[in-house]
Amino acid sequence: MDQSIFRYTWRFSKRDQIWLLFVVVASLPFYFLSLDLPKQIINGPIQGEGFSSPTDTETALRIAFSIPAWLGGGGNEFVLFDGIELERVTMLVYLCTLFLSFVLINGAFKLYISVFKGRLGERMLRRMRYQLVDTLLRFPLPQFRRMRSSEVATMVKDEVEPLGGFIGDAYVQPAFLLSQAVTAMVFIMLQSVTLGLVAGAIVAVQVILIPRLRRRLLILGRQRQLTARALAGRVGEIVEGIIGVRVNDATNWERAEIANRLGKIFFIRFDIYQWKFLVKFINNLLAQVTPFIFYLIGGYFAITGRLDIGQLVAVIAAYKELPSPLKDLIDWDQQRLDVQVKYTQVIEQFTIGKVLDPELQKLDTNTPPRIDREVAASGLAIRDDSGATLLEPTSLKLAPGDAVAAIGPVGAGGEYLAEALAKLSEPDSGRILIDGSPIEGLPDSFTGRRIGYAEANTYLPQSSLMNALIYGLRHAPLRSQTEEETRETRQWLTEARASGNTETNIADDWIDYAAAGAEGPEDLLVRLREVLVLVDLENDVYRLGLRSKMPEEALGEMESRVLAARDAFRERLVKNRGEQYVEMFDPDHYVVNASVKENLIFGVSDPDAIDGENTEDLYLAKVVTDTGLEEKLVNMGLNVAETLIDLFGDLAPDNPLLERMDLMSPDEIDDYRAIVRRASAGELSEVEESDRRALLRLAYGYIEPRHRHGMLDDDLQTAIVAARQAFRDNLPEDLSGAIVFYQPGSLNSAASVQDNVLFGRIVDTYAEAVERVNALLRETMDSLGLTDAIIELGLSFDVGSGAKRLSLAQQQKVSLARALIKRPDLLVVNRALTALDANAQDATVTRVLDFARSISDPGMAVFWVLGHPGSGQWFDRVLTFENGRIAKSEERTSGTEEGRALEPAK
Amino acid sequence: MSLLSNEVELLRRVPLFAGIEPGKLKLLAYTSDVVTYEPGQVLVRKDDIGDAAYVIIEGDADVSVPADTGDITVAELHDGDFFGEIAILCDTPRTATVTAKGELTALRIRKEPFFQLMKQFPEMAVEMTRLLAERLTRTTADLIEAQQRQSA
Repeated sequence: MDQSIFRYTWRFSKRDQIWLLFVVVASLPFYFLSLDLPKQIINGPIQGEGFSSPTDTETALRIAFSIPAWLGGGGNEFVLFDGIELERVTMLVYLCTLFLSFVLINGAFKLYISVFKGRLGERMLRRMRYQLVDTLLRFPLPQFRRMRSSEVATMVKDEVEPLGGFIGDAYVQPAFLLSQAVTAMVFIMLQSVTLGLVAGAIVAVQVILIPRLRRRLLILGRQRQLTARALAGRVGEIVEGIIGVRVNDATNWERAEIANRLGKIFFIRFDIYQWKFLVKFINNLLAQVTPFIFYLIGGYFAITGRLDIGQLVAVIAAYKELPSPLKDLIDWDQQRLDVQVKYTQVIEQFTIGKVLDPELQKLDTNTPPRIDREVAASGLAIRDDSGATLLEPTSLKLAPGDAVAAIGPVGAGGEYLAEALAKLSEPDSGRILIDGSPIEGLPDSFTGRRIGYAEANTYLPQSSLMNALIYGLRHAPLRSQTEEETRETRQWLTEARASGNTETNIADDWIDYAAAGAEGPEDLLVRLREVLVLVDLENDVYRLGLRSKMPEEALGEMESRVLAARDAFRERLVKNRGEQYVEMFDPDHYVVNASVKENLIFGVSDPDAIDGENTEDLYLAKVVTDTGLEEKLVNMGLNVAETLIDLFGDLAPDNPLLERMDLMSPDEIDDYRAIVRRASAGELSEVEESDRRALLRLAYGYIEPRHRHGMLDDDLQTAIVAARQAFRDNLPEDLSGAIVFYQPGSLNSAASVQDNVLFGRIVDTYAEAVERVNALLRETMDSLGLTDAIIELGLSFDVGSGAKRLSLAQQQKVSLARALIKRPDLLVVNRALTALDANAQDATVTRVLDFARSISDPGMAVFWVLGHPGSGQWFDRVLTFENGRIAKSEERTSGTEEGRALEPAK
Repeated sequence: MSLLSNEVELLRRVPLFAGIEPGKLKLLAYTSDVVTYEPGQVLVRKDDIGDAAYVIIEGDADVSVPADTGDITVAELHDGDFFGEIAILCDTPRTATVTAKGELTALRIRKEPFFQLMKQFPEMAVEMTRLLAERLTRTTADLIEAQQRQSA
């Protein structure tokens, strides 16, 4: 990108800028005429100039011009149209209509120019942002180690933003203002050269002095930008590293650090303000002082007769026109410098020695050739930034179907070789050839599809689990989804082109089904499930699906199937003599294994669907009061509180038993102690509202089989079931739709699939109840063919920012699955499963190797840096790395279990 | 349904807990789980790592050790019997298998609350030591008897 924003702007918007200048020039005569007309209206029809008698007429619409004498015109007038004669009132109407039309024309010009400028600016902004991200994508990888993500984000988002607004004005504004200022100056000069010189001198002072003063402002502006960017970086770091901050009690250090930065920013900004207003003050002063000089000198000239009064008035009037364009011009200059600083600051960050050739990342809709001979590393050596050797010169050959394991301590070299094989690091010497071509010259469309790479800490952006898994299948838009070209799509494309953005459509189907071994969208799920089983993630996804609620659009289709599953599950439960494991929901009976609150509401609420102030809790409180249940529940809460305080009240605050208290959190004990004291002092009905609410909360969470205080007698249960009925019958308008009640024989759209199928609560006081129920549930789903739908549901699970809603082990499995789904020719696994125990890792290794061998003949090549050397036995060859070199290479010929030691590869 | 108050009564009848005030037993009961087993379901299995001791609230159980000829039942457990403490005291694998004979309800006392209680109430630790010493004496006596029988 160009170093100057002007050159950049000119390069990409030459034609637009010239057109804009043309339009501005074209608008000027109309502007001038609209300024001139009021004078004519007042002098003519209103004041009566030329209309001395009522029958007088004046000529309108006369079009004539004279050629000046110096052009040889000789003062003759050429009349094109003689015009029409109008009376005074008609003239007034005519002139006013003319005025109105000029106003409209001016307005139209203004609108057109503003819109044009705005679009131009927005296009340039879009172009710039796109180019920045495009460049970012081509940065060499080591560069990213030195970057803070949130700083880059501010640059792309905030720092280039003002540039867009400026670009529309970049050329037009100065040209326009300058022409105005020059006209005024020339006018003054024509009236009186002396006064013209005076005005010129003052303008010169303004033009020279002010920018000098503003230079300091620029330096401050740059500092402000840098400090603000660093602040964004730091805040980003706090968010990313919040765990580190908390476990090290570093919050106060962070506070101090941030406060320190804010202090610096404050003083920079305050300095800016001081300078800004100083400059403004001087600017205004100069502007105000000039009339003083005019009055004095001009007045003196007038008295001495060297200047007539009319001239003086004209000069002062013309000078009035001068400051505003001048001021705008200086402002524009200020903005120019400001924007230039911002631009340079951003460009500097994005101008680094060697970005990748765009050709390497070119969009390619074709299927790249397969690796059918070998991947060969020869004399490959890798050093880190500081020059320390990570990998001594190493050679390795991988033919299709080869499974090679690398073992050895962390950092011994295997992982660096793995990175180099995935084109993630640049070797210091030596090279990697894939079917004879050097890897660094191969486009991403080849390496990114033919090589699969998985490591332990893959960053997963926020998306559905499905999208996280098929990320590696989205290389190019393969199937167009747009049926017909509409005006919108055409405009969409035109704009993308005008801003130099890619014209590929994100709405197209980008998924390379063939690469996953699928025919199309229909059987992709089958392939996905295969891979999920390989990495042992299928069960996790299934469970996620079970715990999800069904999407609204699928409800109709799912209803009958889920209801059938409910019956089938019940049947299976009975057949396996497990009825007692699940306590069914029954609207007319108390569900002992659910909490009091669950029993009262007997449904699932969807907080998003509540419109209005009436929340579920408020309404519940009302129902409890109205049904007379409140006294009983408050009493119950009081009982629970007393018991808990009795049991746990004397324990030291750090006693781990407190964690098993449930219902109440350890730091609430003292609050409740006070509440119990207040409540026991008087009548129960006189307990204060806030205390009541606190006690009610305890009662709401109470589950008899778990807490065992023995407080739910039959009467209370009946009363609660009655209140349940009242809750449901009187549901206020703004809550209807927000709470979906459990009802036998119908689907609860707000509840999870599991709750819908179980339609009850697992009685977890039975040994192994949860495990048995889960097993029966899976059997039911499998037999009804519902598992696919549930897995699909699980795949729509939102993994959260940075996949924080998945466990580390799950994230690592996703990373490996993502490398497998695209069926690469070379699979590189770099200690990717560190969060799994040795047995689980070993099981995954064997499954993946079977898959790699069976998928094609001769199968995919595998280079696996193992976390546990024991799994080495499943590979064809095991390389032991020590201190950056291969210390031992053992080959396992098929059929023999014994390893055969080979010479270390050179 | 099992209630805290009943469980406290039950715990008081266990010799180990006899000397402990009811309030603390209630704490022990509250922090433990009531678990119901079906006939034939295994409470603890020999050689598994244990993380809980049990008091039988209601029901009977067989204590068995596997042998070549099948499982040999070596003892029976009834209401109020306490078992499984060795495994959580010494982190050793279970020494025998306990199987519910009919439907059985037990209080599962987890390792953590059990140790906490031991720490807080030295009398319980003393009682535990006494119990273990008694068992050791008995085992030693059995051993001597067995050796004498063998040499005889």
